[in-house]
Amino acid sequence: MLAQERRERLLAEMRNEGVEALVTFGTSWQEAHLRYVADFASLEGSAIAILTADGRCRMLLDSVTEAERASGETQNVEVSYVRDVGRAVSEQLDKISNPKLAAVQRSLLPPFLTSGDRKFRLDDGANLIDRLLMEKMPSEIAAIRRAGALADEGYAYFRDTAAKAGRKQYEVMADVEAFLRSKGSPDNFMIMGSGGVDVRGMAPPSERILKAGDFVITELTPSIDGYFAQICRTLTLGKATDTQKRAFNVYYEAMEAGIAVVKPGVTAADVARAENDVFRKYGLGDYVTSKYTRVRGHGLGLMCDLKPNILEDIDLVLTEGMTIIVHPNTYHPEAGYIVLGDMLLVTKNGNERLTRTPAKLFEMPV
Amino acid sequence: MRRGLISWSKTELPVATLDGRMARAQAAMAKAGIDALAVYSNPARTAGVSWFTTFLPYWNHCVLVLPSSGAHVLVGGFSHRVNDWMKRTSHLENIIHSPKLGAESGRIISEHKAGAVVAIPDLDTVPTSVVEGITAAGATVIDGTAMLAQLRAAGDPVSVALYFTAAHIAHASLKQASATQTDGATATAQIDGIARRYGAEEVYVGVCKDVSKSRTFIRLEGNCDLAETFALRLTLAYKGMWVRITRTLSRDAKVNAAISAATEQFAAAVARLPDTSSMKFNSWLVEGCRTTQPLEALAGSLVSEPLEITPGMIVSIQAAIDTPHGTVLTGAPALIGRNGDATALLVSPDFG
Repeated sequence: MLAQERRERLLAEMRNEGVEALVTFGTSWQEAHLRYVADFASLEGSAIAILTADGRCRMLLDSVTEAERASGETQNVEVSYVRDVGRAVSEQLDKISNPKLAAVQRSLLPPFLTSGDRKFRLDDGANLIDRLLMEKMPSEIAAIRRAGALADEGYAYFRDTAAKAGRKQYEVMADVEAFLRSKGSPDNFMIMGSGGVDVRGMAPPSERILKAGDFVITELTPSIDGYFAQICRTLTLGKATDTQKRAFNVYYEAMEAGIAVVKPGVTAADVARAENDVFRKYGLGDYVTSKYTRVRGHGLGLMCDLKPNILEDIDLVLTEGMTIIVHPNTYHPEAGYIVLGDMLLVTKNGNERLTRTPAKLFEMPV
Repeated sequence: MRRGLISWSKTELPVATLDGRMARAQAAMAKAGIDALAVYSNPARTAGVSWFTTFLPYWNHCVLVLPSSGAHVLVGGFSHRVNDWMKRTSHLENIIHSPKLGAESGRIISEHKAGAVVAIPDLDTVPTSVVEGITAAGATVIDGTAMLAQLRAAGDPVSVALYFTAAHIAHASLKQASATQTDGATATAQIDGIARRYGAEEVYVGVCKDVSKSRTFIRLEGNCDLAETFALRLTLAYKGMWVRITRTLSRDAKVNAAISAATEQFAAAVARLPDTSSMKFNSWLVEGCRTTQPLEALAGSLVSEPLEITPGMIVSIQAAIDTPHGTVLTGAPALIGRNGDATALLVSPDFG
């Protein structure tokens, strides 16, 4: 079972490092660490799991409803509802005699747990688990492949069925969400935009009505068994204008340039630089800065946005088994925000695309 | 993350209401000798910042700094590209985009007043890095939970109206479920889609696939067969207001009669809230929003330290009721009565 396999892998790391207990924090937007340890995705409130070196896992949640759900969704996890998670976890940690304890993400923990008044000290456990989150096991890659296939299906549904002129953005997204639920995917990170040069980024859906001539952009990220796969695509409602086509071609060239360098041994910065050089070549260098774009790609796995961030100042070296998306998404001054991104598995000699949707500007009949 | 409609309707939530809330908070701060309120929010803990500004962090986290006088500032981990969107969907003029929420909040507060006293609601749940950043700037941090709870306790007509809409979206969505449905993923997809098309900001569908074997709702990963008697629980947000509603469905006529009787029993017990002595069920739970958590456990069979359920509050109640034909899982939101008035369900828990 995948969850057990993950936990065994982590326990081996803990034993290697002599760590007696790992404390992991989870909430709905920071779910990867908790999911790795306890195989639970928190939706409401917050949860903390304590994994001890003997394999015992306890999870404390500050929502009764979530604690009940966790008891039904997890295996080999002792689940409890507590009103004050920090103090309850502290009571558990007080009983552990070995002082070597670690926590992720330490910065998000309740202050009671990190106070100097405690009998224990929680070291930063990021090094213990972050590498495991990035470098996937074969069983994890298999789950991501399934999520990638669903991302393709989801985008096809978005493009061919949902994103029609005359519909509101939130109606389009509701249809896509329902489609993904019908396929058994419980979660999806999805933002979108529609319009022209006024669109400066993607966001949750609004009441804006899609209309002929619009660029419609989306980043769709369904999960399967906890693993997320992402695809970014742009379509036009009606025939694309020459300006739209010319602008899109820059993004296509940039994405392909970024993908071409992805292999073990290169850094995240190398990939970002390859993408951004294309923009600079066309005099669009201003638009690869933080004013217009966040990252040029990122890792994915048990969360939709994991390390490494693909940025020119991130020197993390890519290794076999990492799954990342390369997406040169940003604003174009003549066409508006454009997105294009493919998810990759870093293989021994290079990379493999995990989605199959053509990397093109889709022109959809109105 | 949020994938439903996020928009600010100034007819549903007027600027005057938001300004009034901030003015009341500033008055309370002045009275208590507090220099600033720092309200933390993330996608699971939205209720504090959204109550003041309507802002909903669809992703990432933020701190709203409200000084005892002057304008409020939001410090958020969001990139600058969503600045326009943030201003469009919320009552925010001053936004600082930074991943260092605590340090930036501390800097703003110290510029307002050196050595400030800062109240942070739900302090025990706020990230260490936020609290450390604020104290590193020379501020003294105190727990602001009671202050925010007191500000919100009275409720207001705008909130009630939004909760009412949320409850009706939830009810209308769950009503579409059918006892003849045998496929869990299809049932989940149908409800999820309907609720979002009605304008829900977020939707969580819980499935209890066989009530005769378990009373636990799970979030479906993959699919499941729905037994003869199953239950669905819809947790839904509309413009920052969260409600939960639960429905048991059966293909057995005798069980359906038991469901109707149980929901009547449930409604009668709810009418007596905040007196919980009538909640003589197998299990029960009352949740509501006091401060920053949208649905916090207030009282229930598993809650050893109950919190006050105040008149005028909107709560969501869930119950597992034993009947001769098995357990019935039911639940709905309600408005707690004031001045001796009975508590009123916002929607009927009976879908028959």
